[in-house]
Order: sequence, then structure tokens, then C-alpha cells
Amino acid sequence: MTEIIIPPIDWRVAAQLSIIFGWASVLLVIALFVPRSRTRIIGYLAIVGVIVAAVAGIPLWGVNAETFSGMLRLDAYSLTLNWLFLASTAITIALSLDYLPRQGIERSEYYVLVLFATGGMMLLAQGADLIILFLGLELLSIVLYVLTGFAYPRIASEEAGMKYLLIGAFAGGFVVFGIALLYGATGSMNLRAIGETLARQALTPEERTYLLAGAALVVVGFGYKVAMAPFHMWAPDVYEGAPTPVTGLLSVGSKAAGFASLLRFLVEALAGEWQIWAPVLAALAIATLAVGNIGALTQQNVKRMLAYSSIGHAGYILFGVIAAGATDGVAGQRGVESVLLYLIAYTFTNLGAFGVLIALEQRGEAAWDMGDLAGLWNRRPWLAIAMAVCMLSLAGIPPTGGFWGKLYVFTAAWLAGMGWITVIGVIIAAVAAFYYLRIVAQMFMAEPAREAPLPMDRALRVGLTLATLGVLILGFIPTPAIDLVQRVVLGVRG
Amino acid sequence: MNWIIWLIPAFPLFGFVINALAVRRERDAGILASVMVGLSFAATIVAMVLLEGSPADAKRLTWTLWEWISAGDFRVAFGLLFDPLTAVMALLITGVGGLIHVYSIGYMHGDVRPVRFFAFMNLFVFAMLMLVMADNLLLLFLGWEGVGLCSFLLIGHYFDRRSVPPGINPSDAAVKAFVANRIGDAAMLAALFAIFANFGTLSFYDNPQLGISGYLDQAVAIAGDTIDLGAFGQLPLIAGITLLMLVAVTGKSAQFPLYTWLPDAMAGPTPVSALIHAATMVTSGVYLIVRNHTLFDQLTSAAPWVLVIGVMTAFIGATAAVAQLDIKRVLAYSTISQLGYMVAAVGMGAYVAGMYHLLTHGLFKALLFLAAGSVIHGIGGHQDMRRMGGLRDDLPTTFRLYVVGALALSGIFPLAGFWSKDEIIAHAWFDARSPLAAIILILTSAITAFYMGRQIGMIFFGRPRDPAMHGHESGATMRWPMIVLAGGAVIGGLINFPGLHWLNSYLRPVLQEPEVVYTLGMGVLATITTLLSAGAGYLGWKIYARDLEPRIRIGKEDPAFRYLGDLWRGMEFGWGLDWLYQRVVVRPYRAASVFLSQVVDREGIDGVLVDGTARGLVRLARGLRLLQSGYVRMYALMFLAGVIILITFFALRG
Repeated sequence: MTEIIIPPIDWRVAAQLSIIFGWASVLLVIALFVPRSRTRIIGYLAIVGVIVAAVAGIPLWGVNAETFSGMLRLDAYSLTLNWLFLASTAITIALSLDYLPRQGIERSEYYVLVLFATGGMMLLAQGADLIILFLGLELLSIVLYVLTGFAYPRIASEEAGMKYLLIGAFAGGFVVFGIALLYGATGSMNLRAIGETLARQALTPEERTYLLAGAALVVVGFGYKVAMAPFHMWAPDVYEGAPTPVTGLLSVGSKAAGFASLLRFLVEALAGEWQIWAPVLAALAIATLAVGNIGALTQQNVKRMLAYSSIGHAGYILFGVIAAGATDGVAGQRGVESVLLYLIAYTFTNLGAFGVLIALEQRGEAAWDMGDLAGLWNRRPWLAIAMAVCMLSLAGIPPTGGFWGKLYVFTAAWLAGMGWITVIGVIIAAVAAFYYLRIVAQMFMAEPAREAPLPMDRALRVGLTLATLGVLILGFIPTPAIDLVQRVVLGVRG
Repeated sequence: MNWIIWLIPAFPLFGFVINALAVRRERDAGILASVMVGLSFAATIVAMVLLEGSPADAKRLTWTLWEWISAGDFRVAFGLLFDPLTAVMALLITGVGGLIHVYSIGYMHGDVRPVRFFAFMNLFVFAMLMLVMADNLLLLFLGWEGVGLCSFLLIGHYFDRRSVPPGINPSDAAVKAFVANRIGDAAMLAALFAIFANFGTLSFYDNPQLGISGYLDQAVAIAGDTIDLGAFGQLPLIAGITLLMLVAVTGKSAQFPLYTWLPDAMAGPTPVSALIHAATMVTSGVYLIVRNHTLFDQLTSAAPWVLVIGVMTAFIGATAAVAQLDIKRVLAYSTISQLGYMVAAVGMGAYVAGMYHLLTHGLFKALLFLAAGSVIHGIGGHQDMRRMGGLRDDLPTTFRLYVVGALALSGIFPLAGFWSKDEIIAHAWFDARSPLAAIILILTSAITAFYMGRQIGMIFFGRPRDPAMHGHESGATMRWPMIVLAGGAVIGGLINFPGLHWLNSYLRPVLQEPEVVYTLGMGVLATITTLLSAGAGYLGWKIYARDLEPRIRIGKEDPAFRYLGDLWRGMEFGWGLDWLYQRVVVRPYRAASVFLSQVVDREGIDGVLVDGTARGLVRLARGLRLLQSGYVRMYALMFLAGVIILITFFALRG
């Protein structure tokens, strides 16, 4: 009788994941004993768990290991992204603490679900195997379907959740089929193993076709997650319908996780086929930029405008992703750095922008119209400043974090030899500045359309301040963040 | 102890900052500003004592605060230099500047914005000191631009008035000064570029502290180099650089053909005219040439542009001064003319003579401006000389001081102007062997005496022409600075008295100029010049105080217009240069601007490019909106299309 040998588990690799998943399960139980009027406590406890997980990551810096038969990996790349996810989760929960009771939808499951979503994102960043990536993708998606429809009596929220679920299921099917094709072609699901098989050129032309078709389908799956055109069409409706803090999480955490795995997949498994996928993705990046930014131009609804804008930003990040796969080592490294830097800056910026919308949103009524922002400078100067900082950062104007992100993405694309694409990106960035600055103009130059009291509780203030300060600190002192991302090495170069 | 030279510019800067940020009261501002310039003067004296103690072969104090710019080969120190040439300039700036500050306390009493005035006066002194103390061209340029800025700000001191006597709009005058100076400054920048491109440094002398070499020491080495101008042939490098510098000088030092801004600059308060537009800023062009004399030495005889410009300016300025009716405009044109003397002197290589005249002129022209200010102040702000007349009884002290200044300016023996001006004329005649230049300069000297005689006659003699006017003498804060300056105007000639050569030997470490040997011929020339000037001066006084005096009427033409006609008109309008610029430059430029803004920009760029793009994008957005129908089946269809595209491109291309 053969003995079943369980390979030793390197708990360092799974430490942060374990804390988040474990704490989420514990909270689910604790919530049973917390009266409904004190649900807030669960939110605070969730933040504590997030902080613990983030601190637990500090001694792990420098670790480069895998476990579970190479399915899960911890390296500087995934650790940096984990911290980013944890930061965005913490800020999202802080923003929700005020929002949920105000909208009458505060239930303790919300915070637990956010933690599970965070775990899903971490799986996407740490996954070194197609199965894990799929697991992460599905876990994240399912949690987000629920969260999107969380504002239960509100029909828009239900509709958004439904649409998200349908399109998500549609995309999920393609991913599974793609994984099957990849396995069929290479006999492996491990990203590095696939990459090595490709590098050995051991595939018959037929197998290679299967491999590329499978890769295309996996890209479709991640493309849906990051809202890359033409898989983006769910995004405006879902973003608009979801509760605003969830929209924030969707636009930053979920998107960043999608990019994390897309980047790892392309660089570790498909670097050898860069010549094939780079031009296609470049064309899609331009399409994404165009759709997102042109769509945002005519929006009067600020929440929907931010949804389109977040589609547009996916286009810029794709520039970095493409550059990261470049055969030229300098361009490739710059590509990885640029994706991370852009994600960091974009996360803080977008959370700040949605935070301002949350502050404006009163019970039962939306305050997303351009006119609701009019004269905000006179009503709430600090809110107006925070929003202005975020808008400038989204437009990529110094001294904000968004400027450095754009600078890095464009230089990476340029170094990778995508000169024309870079130029188009810069031109579209100029177009985008219009609708961001229109909001600034509304806030500072227009007369207030109506006078409404804007109560804000402390958690919201803290969350908003953190996000805005993050944008400014990244803008004024970018060196620590740049140093951090420069230590991240990915793929065959690692 | 070398650090002490930093205090010289630091005091006025401190005064500026405090005045700008903290001071609100007129009295505090004036006292603070004056004390700061006074302290700066004291620091200059201390630095001069220190300089005396340094070895004879290295008469130079330097202090580098930090390395200002370091980009590859381009290294510039933020360093100051204090050598004999800087010392005399700093002494003039802080000494005369301090007196003018004290005078301003009285003159600006009751002004609308005195704190602004004193703050900018201190800023000016700071910038001017940076200009003369910089140890490299870039820092000099910082001061050069700084004084230009202060000049702009102070000319426009009454920016809220539509018109100040004689009918100038102050903000227009300020802009005019600024724009005219821009032309010179652009040339200055080009000279900087040329020097860096060919010498690899902008430092005047070696800076051992940072290991930066100086370009003045290398000037001889590249004397033969040329600049390739393409189709225009070759230009000797030195000629190119010095020509660019000369253009810079014509702007800042109000030389032909850029001098037209200086008469209008009289729109500023009178102390500004005295300090900036007579004694210091306008002389910085002369300083620039003297500082770079090793470059200019390379071309003295071959390209006498500097001399030509100087002599022309001296003559044109003097003739224009004759026909002015505004008390300050006479002095403004006179300043242009005297600056011409200085530029002519340095153009002949007579650097000591140029500096000598710069210093004495700084004393007596400041005196004249202050005395003119005292007259204006004493009669309630009028500047038209036709309204004056017979003021010597009302303003006895001012009258005497004015006469002293006028005699010094006219070069009457034994006042300061006689010695310095004659040294230039003698140099032109004997050393430069340019009798034409010498004769023009002698003639100019006579004209100078004539217009000063005319001015004294019109202001102080004759009958009081305006019955409503009652003059009163100025107070002590205004009188005493003038008396000190008058003392300087009388004995200022001593600083380079023939036989003593103090200035010459003091500046020898910088200029290496031999002492002038005085001959009988020089004495004869000087005698002729001074006799001519004295005669012309008497004539000017006699005509305007006696012969034509009854025909001077308020608001009417000068009586001499009847005899000279168009010639007089030409002199009155500064030989029509303004008129010419207005038609050749300003109006076509305005027309082109209107065309560019209204047609090219509004219709073309805004209309077609900007609005057109916007309209196109909005249309595109509407199209995209149709796809975003809200139906999931539509989204799934697009999704599927994307899948097909991706698979096609991935699998079939590979």
C-alpha cells in the first residue's frame, strides 16, 4: 500500500491569506453575538484583521518561496500587491462605516464579504498556477456579485448585481475552457512550467495553436475583470448600481487583482510569445482608452463618469503590462514597475474620489449629478480640496501620485518600442483632463445649486484623509514608492 | 573673514523681506530701508579694509556659498567676488544709494504706498549689488534681471494713475522700459551661451573652492577662433561675444538705439530716477564691459563699435536734452548723453577713465535729480519748467546745490565732471587717435553746458511765471543728502586727480592700465573744452534767464522753436526714434498680434482644432452610448466579438 506523502507546507507563503480567511470566518461567528445596533463593531474588527495581515507581511519582505506544490507563491511582487489590497480594503471599510447605516443597509456580513474579497485578490496576486488563479477569480467575483447587490431594496443595485453575475458567468466559462486548452497543449497548469515548455520550443505547431487559443481565452477572463474593451461593457452599469464603497473596491481592488494575475500570466507563462500578444493587447489598450475616456466626456453623472474613467485607466495600465513582457530587459523591468506604481497611485486616488461621493450621498438619494458638486468649495472646502486633488491625480497632473504613474507607464511603453501608442496615450490623457477639470471647475467656480447639510462621521473623514494624503505624498515624495517597486522582479528575470 | 562680503547684499535683501512682509507704516519702512543700506555701506568699507590686507598679486576676496548648478559640465557657483572694481561700484551703490534712501524718507512722505516703494528700493540695491559682486556671468545675469525688474516695478510706482507729468502713463512707461531691456537681455543670454559653448565655464576667474576655471583668463587663447554663421560667413568669436554684450549694454545703459525707454522712465518717483536711472542701474552696462575688458581688449582697433555707439549716444542725448521742457526729462537725456561718454571711454580701452566718469557722474547726477526732486516737491508736484521761474529766492539751498551739480556736469574747472570728462576727451584725441570722436565729445560738452545753463535760467531766474505757485524749501532729511552729494560733486575729481592716480592704481589689479602721462597738449585741450563749456553755459543761462525769458509762456512752445523750427522739433522728440519704433515695430507687431489672436487663434486653433475635436469626440461619445444600451445580451454580444478577435489574432497569427 502506497503511503500518501503530504509535502511540507511553507506557512510563510500562506500567512497573510490565512489571516484574512481565518479572521473572516471568525467574524462570521462573532457577528452572531453582536446585536444589530452594534454591527459597526464588526467593521472595526475587520479593519483590525486587515492591519494584522499587513503587519504580518513586514517580516516576509525578501522571501521568495512557493508552497502547495508550487501553486501559491510569495515574492516581492505579490507582497507589494497584498499590501495594496489591504490598504484599499481598510479604506473601503472606513468609508463604508458611515455609508452603510446612512443608507440603512448595514449588515455584518458586508464586512465579512469584503474580507473574503480581499482574500480572493490575494489569491490572484499569489497564484502561480492556473487553478489557483481561477479559484481567486471566482471567489472574488462571487463575493462582488453579492456586494454589488447589497443595497437590497434599491432596484438599481439588484440589477447591477444581476448583470455582473451574468457577464461574470459568461467570462468564467471562457477562462475554464482556456485553462483546459493550455493544459492540453503543455500538460501543465503551472505558469512557470508553461513558460519553460514554450521556451524549449518542444511544442508541435498544433499544440502551439491550442496554447495560444487557450491563452487568448484566459486573457479574456482577466480582461473582463479589469474592464478591458470590449469586455468592459458591464462596468458602467455595475459601477453605477453598486453601493458606492463597493464601486470603489470594484474599481481599485478588483481591477488591481485582475492586473496582478494578468501580468503574472503574461510574463511568466507567455513571455516567449510577446511578439504575438503585444500588438493585439496594444490595440485593445488603445480601444480601452478611447472607450473609457470618450464615454466619460459626456457624462453628467459623476459616478458613471468615474466608472468610464476607471475603464480608461485600465488602458494605461495595459501599456505597462505590455511593456513588462518586452524581450528588452530594461523595458520589461520598467513595465513591471510602472504597473505597480500606477496601481498604487490609482488605488488611493480613486478611493478618495469615491469617498467624496460617499460624503455627498444622503440617505436614499443619490448625489452624483455634476450639479451636486457645484460650489462645493463654499460648502465644504476640505471635501472640495480632496476631490480636486483626486481629479488632478486622475488627470495625471503633478504634484500628485497619478502624474508619476502616468510618467512611468509612458516611459515603459516608450522603452518597449511602442512609440506611436505612447503618443496616442498622451493625447488621450489630454482629452481626459477635460472632464476631470470640469469637476474642479464646478466645485470652485460654480454657485452652489442647493444647500444640504453634510454630516460626516470620523471613519469617513479618516478614510478620505488617508486616501487624499496618499495621493499627495506619492506626488511630493515618490521615491519610497519607486524604491519599493524597483525591488520587484518578475518572471524569467527573477 | 571673507564671509563678510556676503553681508553687503544680505542687508538690503533682509530689508526688502521685512518691509515686504511685516512693515505697514511709512516711517518704519523708510528708516529700516535706509539703515539696511547704511549697514551694507559699512560692510563694504570693512570689506575694502580686508581687501587692502590681501596680497598684491591676488587682490580679490571670494566667497562661495554653495554650488548653484551642477549638470554635467555645466557648473555654476553661487559665489561672490570682491575686488577693487567691485569695491568702487559697491561703494557708489551703497553710498549714493544710502543718501537717496534717506532723502526718500522726506520725499515720499504722504505717498500712497511708501512701504512698497522702500521694499523695492532695497530689493533694487540687493540686485544691483549681486550684479557687481557676482563671480560668474550667470549670477551677474540674475542681478541684471533683478535690477530690470525693480526698475519696472518702481517706474510703475504710480501704476494706478493714468498720467503723470509730462503726460506719461506710468504702467506704459514701465512696460516700455521692460520690453526695451528684453532686447538687450536676449543678447546677454546669447552672449552667455556663446561663452559657455566656447569656454565651458561662466566663471570670470578661477574658483579654486569648486575647481571651476574662469573664462577671462583664457580670452587671449581663443582670440583667433571664429563662429560659423553659415551663409553669412565667419565671425571672429570674440567679436561675436562682445557684439552681443554691446547689444545688452545698449539696452541696460540706454545707448543708441535702445535709449528711448529712459526718458519715459521718469514716470517713477524722483529718487528712483536718481538711484536707478542715473547713478547705478544704467551704469551696469559700463561695468559689464569693464569686467570683461580682456575680451574687449582683443578688438579695440579692429571693431570700434563700442566707441561709435558711445559717441553717437553722447551727442544725440545732449542735443535732445536742449529742447526738453520737463525738468526731469532734461536730466534723463543728459544721463543718456553722459552714459555715452562712459561707453565711448571703455570703447577706446580707457577703462579707468570710464569708471572715473561713472563714479563722478553717479555723484553729481544723483545730486541734480535730488535737487530737481526738491524743486518738484517744493512747488507741489509740477515738473514743467515753463511754470517755474524765479525760484532762487524760494528755494535758496536747492538753488545753490543745483548750480553746483550743473557746473560739475558741464565740466567746469575744478569740479568733478571737469576731471573725468576731460580724461575721456584727452584719451580720444591723444591715445585713441580719433580726433572726430574727440571733437564730437567736446561739442557735446559745450551743448551739455548750454542745456544746464538753460535749465537753471528757466527754473531759478526770471520772473515767477505761475502766480499760483509758491515754493518752499525742503526739510532736513532731503537737504542733507544733497549737501553731502554736492560735496562729492565738488571734490570728487580727487579720486583720480592728475598726478595722484588713486583710482588708476586702486583698479590696477583688475585693469592693469598704465598711468596717464600728462602733457602740455592735454592741458591746452582741457582749457579749450572748459572755456567752450563755460561760454555755452553762460549763453544758455543768458538766453533763457534774460533775452528770451519774456517769451516763455505756460503751455506755449519754447521761444527757440521760432528760430530753429523742425530742428527744434526733432530735438524735442529725441530725434524721432520713438516715432520710428512706433511705426516700424509697435504697430505692425500689434497688428500681427490682433491677427494671430482673432483669426489664427480664435478661428483656427480654438475654432477648428479645439472646438472641432471636442465636437467630434462628443459625437463619438453619443455613438458609443448607443452600444451601452443596458441590455446584457448586447454586452454579451460585444464580449463574444472580443473573444473571436482575440482568438483569431492569437491562434491564427502564431
